[in-house]
Amino acid sequence: MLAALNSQESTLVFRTMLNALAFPGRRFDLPNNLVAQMPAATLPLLALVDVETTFCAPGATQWQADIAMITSSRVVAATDARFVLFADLPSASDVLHLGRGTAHRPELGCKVVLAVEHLPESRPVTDDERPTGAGHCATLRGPGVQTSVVVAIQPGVDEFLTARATAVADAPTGIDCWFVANDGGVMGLPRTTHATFDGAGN
Amino acid sequence: MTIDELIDERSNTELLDEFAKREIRRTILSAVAIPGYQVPFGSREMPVARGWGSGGLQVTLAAVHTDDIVKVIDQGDDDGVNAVNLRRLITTSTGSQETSVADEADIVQSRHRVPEDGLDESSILVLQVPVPEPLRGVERDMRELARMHAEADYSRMWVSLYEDKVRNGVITQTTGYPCLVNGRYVVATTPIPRWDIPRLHDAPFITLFGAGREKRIYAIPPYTEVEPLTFEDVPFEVEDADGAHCALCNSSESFLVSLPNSSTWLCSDTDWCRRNRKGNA
Amino acid sequence: MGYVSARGGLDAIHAAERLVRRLRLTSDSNWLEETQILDKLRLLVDRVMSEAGLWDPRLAAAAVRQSEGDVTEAVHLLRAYRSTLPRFAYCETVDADAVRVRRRIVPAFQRVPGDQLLGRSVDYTARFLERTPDDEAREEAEKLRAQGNVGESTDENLGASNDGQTPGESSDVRSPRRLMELLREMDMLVDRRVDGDPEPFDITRSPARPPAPRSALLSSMSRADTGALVNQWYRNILGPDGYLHEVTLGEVRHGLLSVDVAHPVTGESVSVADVRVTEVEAIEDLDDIEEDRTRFDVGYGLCFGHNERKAIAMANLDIACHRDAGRTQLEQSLLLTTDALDSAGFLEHLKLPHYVTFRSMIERKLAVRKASKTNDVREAEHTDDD
Repeated sequence: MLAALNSQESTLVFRTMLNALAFPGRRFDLPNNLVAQMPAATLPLLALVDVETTFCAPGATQWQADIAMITSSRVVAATDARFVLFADLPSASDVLHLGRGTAHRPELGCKVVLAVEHLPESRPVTDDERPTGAGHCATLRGPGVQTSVVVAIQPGVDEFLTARATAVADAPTGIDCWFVANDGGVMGLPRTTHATFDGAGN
Repeated sequence: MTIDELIDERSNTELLDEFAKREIRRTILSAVAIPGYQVPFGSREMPVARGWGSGGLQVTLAAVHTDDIVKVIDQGDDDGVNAVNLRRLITTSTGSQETSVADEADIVQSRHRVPEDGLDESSILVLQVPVPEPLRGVERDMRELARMHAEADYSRMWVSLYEDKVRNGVITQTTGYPCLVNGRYVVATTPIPRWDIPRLHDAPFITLFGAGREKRIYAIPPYTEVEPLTFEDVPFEVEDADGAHCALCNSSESFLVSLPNSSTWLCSDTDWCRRNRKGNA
Repeated sequence: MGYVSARGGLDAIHAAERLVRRLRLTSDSNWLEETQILDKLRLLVDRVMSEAGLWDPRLAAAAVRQSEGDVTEAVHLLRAYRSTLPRFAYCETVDADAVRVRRRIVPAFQRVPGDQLLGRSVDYTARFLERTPDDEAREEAEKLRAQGNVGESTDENLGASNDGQTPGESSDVRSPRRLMELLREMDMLVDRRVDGDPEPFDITRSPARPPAPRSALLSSMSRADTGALVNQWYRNILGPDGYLHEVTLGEVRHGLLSVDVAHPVTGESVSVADVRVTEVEAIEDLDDIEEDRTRFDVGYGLCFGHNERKAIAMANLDIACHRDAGRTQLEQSLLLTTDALDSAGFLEHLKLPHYVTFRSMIERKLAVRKASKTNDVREAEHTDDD
């Protein structure tokens, strides 16, 4: 059951989101007690949105109605929303239609929360290491990543990353994303993170 | 939350209402996602005056939780009156604890210094910003300033630095040296000394900048490029102390300040100095 | 070691707070009650509310008392208090035509429908400083009270009275038609009305920067420092900044406006406050090449409380800014340099320690000297080579 977060709870969720965005590709955890009470993917919006901003939860009508009621935040179409919560991985088209802001107002770019079953596995690599391992990998570079981070990505996530690459190609506009797993793990991808695919000649 | 709970004055020790905090948090996230970009925010009035740290205070209040440990310094000094005032406002209104040791702090709010050591990946540095606009000296019209940042047109800044060097033989920027962040935005680093600039580059910690009066928040994420603007043949210079040592701890490896008309120098970072004397720095 | 910065720590701050409070509370004269401030210093209270952007006369009186009469300090107390309060409703749109006037003059015409109502104003009183000894003045006050000539009560200043009607006056006098409507009927005004109902810019939630919507400019001026607006007007009228026209005033009004919200359960309109406002229309003579020189345009000013010089300056600057259309930096000056707390706070921040910067400045001066000496040496060597 979704419920309002109190002051301390909102703060703790915010700090998790902040860390995840500041250190892309690294796992951070939402407070256990909250994850036990409600779906982890709903926590970021419950903590961050209110009447003075807009959101949308496409394909998750109950979550959307509950979050709107609890926070008084305004539901608008995904293309206009400042926060979008996807209960399932969005299609490329969904991603490309999210707001990216403008050169004068890059902060209007959408903040996206993606509910996933499990977070991608990730580990830091030095520049001369070649990412190995079974399965699909992406190498992350950019602010917050000390050298590089390799993430093993599940099916579907690679399409998302490809669409995301288009959405963030025109800096400083773009979208900022967080994966939130059922167990409360969070991984952030600000628009400044470059993700290149394994074997794509990095 | 009921209206009664919202407006219960007797139990309300907080300086900011919940919605203000949420807005600041959304702003902080935007700032971290767009390194060096000045994100506008509503900026509430605080019990300290505009120009006295109201922006840094709002950022700290939005980020801090009751289990955090907070360090607050001014010119590097934990015991300066303004730092003391801000620190007690933070701790009494949020229930957080205080320390003077940067390594123990979760959040360090600072006016005009980066602590000499102790900041790591778990730290948040909050710098108080008097003027967030680095191009203020070369352009007065705000519409033009917005265009320059939007188009990354910093040519007037470069010209001004060049003229400075030609006229004076050196670049005369004192504190608050303008830097290019993540190869995109030029920022006002606040009046921290040039001494501290290299420590912003590729740092393990998040740096948040709060400008309450001008109503902007910006950020340098960890492990981000921060390059002071200078020319290939004009190396960036930190403050030269001509071999001086701190009179208390003998260090020449920290930023020193002097007495007027005197050869006595002291560490500006008073806690670093104290620990250095104990052998713990 | 001699060097001590502004060292004092928590003890010093507590001591200073105790000192300020003790001296304020225990000064020799009688206890100063909030109602006395409301009653006898009403214009000071009004000014503080108008610069805080917050209507609450009792709170404003408390702030005036705590600040010992420092207007900017009182404004700071109110605004900081406001920051601790959540906003949980928006009022319905207030129609300024619904104002119940206590004072209303129209300089543009000798006679107007609804009459000129001089009201409570010192404009035409002779500025003689009264030197009547206190006991005589008190006697006179007693006599007046006995005769039943009671002045406006504190309640009226709070605005929480009936609608201010005096017996025998028709309600037309209290809500007269505004001159602008009549000028429209005469086809003497350009029409700048817009369709729809654009959402007003909320300066407490977003910082306004040029180019900003008119609502941002008006709300910024509405809570600007009175002196700053008067100064902006004066320096633009006579230079050095610009050459604004002096407008002809249409309406100058002081009256009561009801603020209504929708009841959370019934949805019906409920009045939650009667606020007093000063409202001004400024008629501008259009004479530029691109303007309609056969008509006038109008600037608007509105602020909390009875503060005519502020509302007049505001109305004049509103139309000036519109006509400026971004050619100069007038809009930037108005939006960004007229707030009492921003300007005074930043000015007074100079009192904070700045010794890190100063040390860095000294170092650069020495570096410049060294660089010029090196140049001199190089030039000397060069000359020697000749």
